[in-house]
Amino acid sequence: MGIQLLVTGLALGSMYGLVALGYHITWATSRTMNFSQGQAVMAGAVVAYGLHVALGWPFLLTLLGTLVASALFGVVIERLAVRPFFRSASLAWLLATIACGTIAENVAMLTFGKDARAFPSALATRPVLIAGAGVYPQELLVPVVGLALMGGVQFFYHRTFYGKQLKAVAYNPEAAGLMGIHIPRAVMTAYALSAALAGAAGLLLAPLLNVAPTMGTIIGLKAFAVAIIGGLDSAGGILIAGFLYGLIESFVAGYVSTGAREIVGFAVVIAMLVVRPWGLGGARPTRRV
Amino acid sequence: MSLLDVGDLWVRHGQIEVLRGVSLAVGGEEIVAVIGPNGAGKTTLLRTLAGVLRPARGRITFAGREMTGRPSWEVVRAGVALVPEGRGIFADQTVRDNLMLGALSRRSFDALDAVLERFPALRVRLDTVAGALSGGQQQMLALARGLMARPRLLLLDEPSLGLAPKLVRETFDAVRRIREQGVAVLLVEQMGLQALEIADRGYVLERGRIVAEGPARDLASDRRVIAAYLGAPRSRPRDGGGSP
Repeated sequence: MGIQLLVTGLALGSMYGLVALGYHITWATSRTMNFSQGQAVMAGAVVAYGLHVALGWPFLLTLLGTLVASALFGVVIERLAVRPFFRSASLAWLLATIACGTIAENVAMLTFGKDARAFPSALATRPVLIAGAGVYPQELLVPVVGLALMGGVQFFYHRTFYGKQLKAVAYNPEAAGLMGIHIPRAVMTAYALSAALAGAAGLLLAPLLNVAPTMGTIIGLKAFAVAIIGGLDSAGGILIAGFLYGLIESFVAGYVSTGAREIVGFAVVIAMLVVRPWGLGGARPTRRV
Repeated sequence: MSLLDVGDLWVRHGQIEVLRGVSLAVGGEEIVAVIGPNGAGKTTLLRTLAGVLRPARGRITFAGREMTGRPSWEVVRAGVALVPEGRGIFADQTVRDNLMLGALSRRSFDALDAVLERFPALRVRLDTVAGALSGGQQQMLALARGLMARPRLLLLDEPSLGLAPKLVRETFDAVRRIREQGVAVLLVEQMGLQALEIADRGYVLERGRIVAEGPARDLASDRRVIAAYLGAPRSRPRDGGGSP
């Protein structure tokens, strides 16, 4: 059972990390977050279902379509729920992004239907045996793709000029504007990228979970927990926290009870907020000049 | 007509009026110093000129173009670069990347060689993370990054801040050489005397208003200016050099 739990934990953990990285990306560039990240996961799963199952698109095209659709979701959120409140120092964006997520959930209910649907995948029908444990190939694929996507994001940020511009915005938006970086466009890009990662997670998780309009809420919340544990300002911390969270969850569910899973997971979050509020990978906050 | 023309500029910060009707001008290839006490509104003035802050009233014209209320990323494209207070270096990126970002507004890095020639210390540290540079080197990097945009007007906010006296002199020398390349400089300084030494003209800003202006030489020997902002004069004011 241990191997099975390990694989499930790594698969889920990588997805929590991926979605949590989305919180980090928009937080770093704009000090705002998309609290409908969970619904972006759901949107990704629903769009993937539509493209792959209903329309019969091949996998790669489905992936592309899902990424584009969820990136657009992020752009819409930024335009409707964040930009109007960006200059005011209020937390209006927080409620507005939650509102957008709730609306998205309702739209999905009206179009996709209330009921959960299975996402058929050849990789999630027959388990393979690894050291005597039955594991779905999809569960092995998920963390690999998840890590590849996170690696892609890191490459983008540190090796491409556009990524370096976003990094500059994250470090000091005022100075970045003085360089000629169009700040609203940078923030919008961050929202698109963040939602695209969530959408990719939705696509990858769809064969393992069922696709349903409400599937995103708890994933979004857990990913937020992961972002807090890892440190909102630390991509590396979030990666580690994602895997830790997934593993804890999986092993508690396996050895204790599924009911205890959330208790332990969120207790860790509260403990972290008390002991090390800036997160695993974050630096103790100092005032920026 | 001057390169930069500012007329009746009012800037609010919340309920406070930080600038209350500032008018000034900078000619092409001129060094202009704005001096004044802490909290006079010097930094606010530069941030407004660079498009970081929006004025409540007034007019900013640069090279004959209306710039009032334009955002910073457009102002720099028009040829005005601000080297902000505290330098605004991207400490988590390399010196090279900082310089590249400085040239972003032009989409061309052709200024790199000329800039490195002027600041040779940076050439050997191109691949160093900017945060690892000393204070003086960071100041040079900030100036160099500003020049990467090939501005026609460079706005400098307290370039001497936090530097040892020798480095302050080096920085002011660098400013003088920048002007020799045909770039106009608007310099805001608390080190009033040294700023006036390299400036052609000066303004004294006090509580959001210009209270004195004139050729830098005259301001530097004006007794009231000396008493209020410059500390002890280095030499006795010459007779007739300013108002009694």
